[in-house]
Amino acid sequence: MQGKCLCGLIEFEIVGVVPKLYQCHCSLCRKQGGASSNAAAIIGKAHFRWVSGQEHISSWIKDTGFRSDFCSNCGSPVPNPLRSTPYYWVPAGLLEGDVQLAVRAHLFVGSKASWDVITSPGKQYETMPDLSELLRPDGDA
Amino acid sequence: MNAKYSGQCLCGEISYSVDIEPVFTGNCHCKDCQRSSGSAFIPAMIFPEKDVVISGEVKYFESRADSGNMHKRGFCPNCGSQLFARFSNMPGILGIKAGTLNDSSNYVPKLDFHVDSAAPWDFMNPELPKKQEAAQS
Repeated sequence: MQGKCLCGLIEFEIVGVVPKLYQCHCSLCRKQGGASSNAAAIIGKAHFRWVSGQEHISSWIKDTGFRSDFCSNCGSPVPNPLRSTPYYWVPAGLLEGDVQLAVRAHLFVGSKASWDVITSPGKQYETMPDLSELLRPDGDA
Repeated sequence: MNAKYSGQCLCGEISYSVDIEPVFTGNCHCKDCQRSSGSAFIPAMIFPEKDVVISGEVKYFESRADSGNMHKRGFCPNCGSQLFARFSNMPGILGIKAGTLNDSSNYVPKLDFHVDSAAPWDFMNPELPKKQEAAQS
């Protein structure tokens, strides 16, 4: 599965797994994309590969550890390492094709915007659970 | 003075305020909005540009929309927050992305548009009207 930013400078691919999606409804994720929530796949590093454009990635890291990686040319959020875990956080809006992906869980539902009406399936967490719980039971994210 | 609508980027380099009501509010589900937000759709508020006070240096990226019109998306070059939009077919109009509002309860969408382009995992509020193509066509 391929993905790219809006201008196309940064490209990546996910191999060997069908991503499951997670939507984070926290205020920081809202501000990053200007959207209601972030939507992303959590992909083990062995299943993720950069194709081009890594040199165009800018990073902003908050003192709490929250991280915004984006294309310096077009501003699209781009995949970034998920803190100190062996996973990448891959923005779902960048994925190409009509593969039927599904949202597996909603994070920080307690912080969601008033207009953000969650109608999709997936477990809802008030905040952020441990990654081990999030990726259970198949752990193939 | 407290403006009716105010917001800022993640790092605070860019902020804005508007003291009138938007002329339009709605959620855009087009693929370019998915790419620029990384998410399912952009909650957009439309204002006359002259009524929006912006502080900070915004970087704009221009691309051609499916309609053929040019669309500029404005973001903070320091933290990447997506804040603004300008449209070649609507001079003098500025779009503000509601995710950047300081008070998130201030945005009330009236429409879901470009729903033909929505991602399979994008579930919408069933109570909002739906439009397959652009909001203004």
